[in-house]
Amino acid sequence: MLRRAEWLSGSLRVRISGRMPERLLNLCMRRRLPVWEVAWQEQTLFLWLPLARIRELRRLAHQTGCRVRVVERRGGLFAWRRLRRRPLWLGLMTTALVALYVFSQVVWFIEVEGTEQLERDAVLSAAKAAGLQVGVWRGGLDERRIVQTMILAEPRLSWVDLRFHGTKVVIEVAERDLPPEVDPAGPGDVVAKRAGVVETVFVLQGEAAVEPGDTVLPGQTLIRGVIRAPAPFEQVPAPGETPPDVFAMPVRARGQVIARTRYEGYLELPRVEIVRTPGERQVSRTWLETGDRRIRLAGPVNVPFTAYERSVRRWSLPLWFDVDASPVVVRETFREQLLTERRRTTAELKQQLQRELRDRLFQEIDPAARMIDVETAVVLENERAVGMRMTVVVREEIGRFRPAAR
Amino acid sequence: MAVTQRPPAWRRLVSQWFDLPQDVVMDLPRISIIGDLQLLVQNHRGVMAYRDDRVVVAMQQGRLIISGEGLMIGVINDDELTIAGQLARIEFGR
Repeated sequence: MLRRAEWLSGSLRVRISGRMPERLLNLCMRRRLPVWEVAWQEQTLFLWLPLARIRELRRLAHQTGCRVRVVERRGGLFAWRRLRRRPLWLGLMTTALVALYVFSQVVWFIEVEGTEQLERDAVLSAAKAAGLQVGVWRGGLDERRIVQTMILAEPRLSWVDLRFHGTKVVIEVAERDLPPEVDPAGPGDVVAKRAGVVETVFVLQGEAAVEPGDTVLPGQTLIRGVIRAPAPFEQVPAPGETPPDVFAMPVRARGQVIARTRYEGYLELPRVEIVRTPGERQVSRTWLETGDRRIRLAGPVNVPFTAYERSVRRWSLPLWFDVDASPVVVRETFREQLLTERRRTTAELKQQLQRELRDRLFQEIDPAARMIDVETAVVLENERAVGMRMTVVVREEIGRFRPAAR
Repeated sequence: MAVTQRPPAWRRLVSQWFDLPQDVVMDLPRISIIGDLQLLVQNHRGVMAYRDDRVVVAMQQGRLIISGEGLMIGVINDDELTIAGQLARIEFGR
């Protein structure tokens, strides 16, 4: 690392002549003057040192009776000086760098992972519909919008993720397990989707299997998909056979079954609540990520706070053609959070329990359901916690169509 | 190879008794060799002589003589010294 840093700021190769060049080496060592690639060639000592320390070396050489002569210059500074004398070369290099930057900002490769039944082209056309295709400017892509558009454009997709590796984009997908196609006009029953007590049964087509007042369980048949009628005259039984009294024809059951159903929930909350308040201190840590490697550039190894809020910013360095190891600078900021304990009163806890239980249960209940009763009961109350049970009774449609088995 | 000047006996005892690294307690150099191509000396005291076929490194107790061909000092600082080249012989001397 030292040599790379020295190379950037410029370094010199010098020839040391004199009777005891070792003395000069030892003085450099004592003065912490970095030297490297010390070689003995043609009865003379050669070594490399940083450009900024040449005066110091000359002074030390004078003290030890040695002579110093610069034989080679290397580094960013000298390269820049040489380049300044060649404007055409400098222009070409600048153009090349700009072109490299521009080309590295464009998506050149798209890979698709995770497909099983779905064709790769279908995923690519969904991506194209979302604005992601070979040749687009990478910076203008909105990852979230692309994912949403792709899922909407291709109904066989259930999940999509995009990974950017330099100029390559990997689209990882998961396919939706679609249910087998059902004939919408085919026969079937109406069954209960929830347990409840039936209040009204209204049959449009089929045959009622329950009556008001019956208690039904989930999956139980409410309206049978069948129509019974007297046997047609053509089906005259053979002599000796029992004549069929009815003729059953499978149909698609239709109707509405309203029942009284219950939703129950239980929740417990501790009396002591941990309250997080933002502190004044914050630290930052910077990483350089290339592929699987992670190099810490600045900041502490361990976060000095017990509780903190973490935020991450990423900058990708574009000047890399190796698409799998495009480096990314990651800056993590940790803001200290102060944790304090607060003891809540029973009344406060009851209010919060009611609110949370209500929110939780109402997420399950069909918005079209009509509420009949809400009951709450405190079933646990001690020094440590308060627990509450809530029961909501509603009147709702509980039927759902189930196609007949083939 | 022969060690010419031994560290005091009490240091050796302390190191063995407390299971401490000997190079730290007895102020000995730590030498690592990579094949016959590179040698790293830690805890050295400087370079006494240097030619492309011979390097003499000063240590707390005596000196280390490295012989070989095309020897080059890779890095030299207060903490360590690396010597690269075709190593042929390593000796401890007074």
